[in-house]
Amino acid sequence: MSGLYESQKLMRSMRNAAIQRGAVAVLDIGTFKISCLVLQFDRSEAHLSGADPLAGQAFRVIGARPIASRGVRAGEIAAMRETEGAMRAVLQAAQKMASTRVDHVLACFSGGLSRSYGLAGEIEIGAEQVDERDVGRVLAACDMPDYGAGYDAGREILHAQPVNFELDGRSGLRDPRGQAGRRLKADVHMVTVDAVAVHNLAYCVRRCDLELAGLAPSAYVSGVSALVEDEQELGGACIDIGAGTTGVSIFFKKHMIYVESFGIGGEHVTKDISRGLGTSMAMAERIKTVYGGLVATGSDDREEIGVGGETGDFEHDRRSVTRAELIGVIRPRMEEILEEARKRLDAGGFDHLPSRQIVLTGGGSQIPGVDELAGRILGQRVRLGRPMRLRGLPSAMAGPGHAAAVGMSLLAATPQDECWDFDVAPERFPTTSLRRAAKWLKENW
Amino acid sequence: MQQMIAPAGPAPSRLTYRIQRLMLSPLHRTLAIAGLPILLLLAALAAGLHGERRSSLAEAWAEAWRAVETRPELMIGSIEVSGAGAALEEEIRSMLPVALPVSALALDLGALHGRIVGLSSVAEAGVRIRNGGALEVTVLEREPAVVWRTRYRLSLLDASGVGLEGLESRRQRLDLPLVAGAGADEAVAEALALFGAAERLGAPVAGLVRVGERRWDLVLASGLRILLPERDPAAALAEVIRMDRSGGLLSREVRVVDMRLPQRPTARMSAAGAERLWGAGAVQGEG
Repeated sequence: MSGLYESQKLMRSMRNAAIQRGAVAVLDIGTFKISCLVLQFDRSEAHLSGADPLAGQAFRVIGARPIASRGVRAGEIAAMRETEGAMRAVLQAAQKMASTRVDHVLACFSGGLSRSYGLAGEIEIGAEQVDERDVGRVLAACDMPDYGAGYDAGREILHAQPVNFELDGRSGLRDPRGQAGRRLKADVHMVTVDAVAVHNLAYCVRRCDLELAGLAPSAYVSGVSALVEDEQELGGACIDIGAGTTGVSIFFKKHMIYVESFGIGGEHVTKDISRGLGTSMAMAERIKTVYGGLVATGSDDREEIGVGGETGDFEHDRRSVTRAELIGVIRPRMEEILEEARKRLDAGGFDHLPSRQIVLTGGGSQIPGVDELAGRILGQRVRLGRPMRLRGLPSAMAGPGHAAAVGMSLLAATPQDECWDFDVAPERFPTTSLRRAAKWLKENW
Repeated sequence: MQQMIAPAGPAPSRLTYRIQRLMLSPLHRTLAIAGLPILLLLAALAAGLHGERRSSLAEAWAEAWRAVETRPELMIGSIEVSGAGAALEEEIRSMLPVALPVSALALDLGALHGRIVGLSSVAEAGVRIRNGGALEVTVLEREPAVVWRTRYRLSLLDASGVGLEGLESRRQRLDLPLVAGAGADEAVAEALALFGAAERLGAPVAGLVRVGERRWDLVLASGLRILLPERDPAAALAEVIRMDRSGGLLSREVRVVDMRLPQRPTARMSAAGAERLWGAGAVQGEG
């Protein structure tokens, strides 16, 4: 686990540089929309509070802009030029709104078929106390599964976070540094994604003259923004129903312990409507957002919905369907999505968590009745999530569809320790050499 | 909730995107907003203005200026001087522009005022242009306060010590007190106070003599000299007056009363008085 971190470490240092400079862009690259937030870090305020400069929200949103996505399929970039153009457009608009130039971008994306791994490592502690170097060593000692690194298989580590430390049988330590013990164990949650997807994304960002300062799976950041603290602590899952992909992330003890995404989402619902009712995608999208629903009511058969069309054929253009029919089209697909999510939750061991709160976010979660349907499929404790409020975020972008962008902003301000933060053992060199110089001076003068 | 997602229009080209980013950096923005127009303007001026065109432009400008200047509303037709004596008025008039009518724009009232105030016999002056095209000069003349005799000439001083015109003879202004000695003009105020105090002396005063540019001698018409100290001469003079009232000091054979040390007044007798005193065989001095 050494060479893989280099780029991530570089990104972390770039993130710090961006925060030092004061402005950073957050980019959520989705299948349906790309949204960009420009964050301004308020260093003066952070100094006033005296606490960790990034604790709480030491930033405000000064530019925010969603734009329809192009060239993205199932969360992955399918047409480079188009996506690049859309990214340029959204970045330009957000920078214009912020009237600030940003040079660093934190991106989250849902594609790349993320896969979760739980790793465990164990070492003997030489000294009495655990120090940072030991943490780095135990993380390096984790047994690495064959996740398909290298050029051929093309997987890359996107996320690697120590979620638990155990010291001489005392488990559940958040931070073992400074504690006395002999055997240190660590559990690491690692996420790999398709390397090509990441490289394409990085290339697009570079083509926009920006530096990629961080990358995260959007299911993770949606959970960060939509799950409240208790849910993250006691066990909760976030199901982020996007347009092209649906991501599932499970949180326990304030760490993400599982994340995975699969390629069905709200766009498939739209496609089903388009196909089933014989109408255009734009009209299907409109019908879905305006009339869509999942739970049948008594008046459904009486509610006529104009399907529309622009063929010029009067009979064709004046068709209408009942809402019951529409529900009949939408519901099977939503059931499929939730069933898939159910499988992922089972795979992630969600049933073993003490509290099993499920939070639905993403644009797809706005179809009325999805919480009721999810309650039937996933279990009783389902709620609709809304992202945390950010200072300066326009209310039009405060809905669940923008949970990922908000979560990425929160993550930018308060990152959790990832493996690459520990990997660099603190340099002892300067202090020892100074001490040696002082000793030499004492002896010789 | 209906979300406002902008449709994916034609994306900005890389060039426009980069230009916009450049314009968002403060340095480039300032250069583009302020620097570039200024540069262009200077370049245009440099290219457009050379040689003949510049002179013709200057001519046109001068023509336009003249047209404004000579409008009847701005012309001054008469000069009124008030508060000055005949001689001073003549002097002031000789300073003012001769060729009337003249344009108000061509007149520098500030400089004019400065020159009038600069005249030695003018204390204050006001210069303004009245409605109807008249230049009004209001003058407050300096009043001569003392006659100042130096080794070479006689002149008049006002109360603040500014020299006015010279005098042929003392007789011309017998109404004014006389001061003499170098540096007397710098202490005219003090001299006037002393003259005021000396009225209580009851004897005609010939004048004050400035000694060493630091103190005064009061000379009476009888030739008696009162040497006053540098500091607080009025008090010393009051002391002399008191001694005169009580002991008739000044009516005796005394030539000089020395008050330079106020605690120890000294009197110097005339030769005749001393002889008479010594002849009488009695030794008695004024304390």
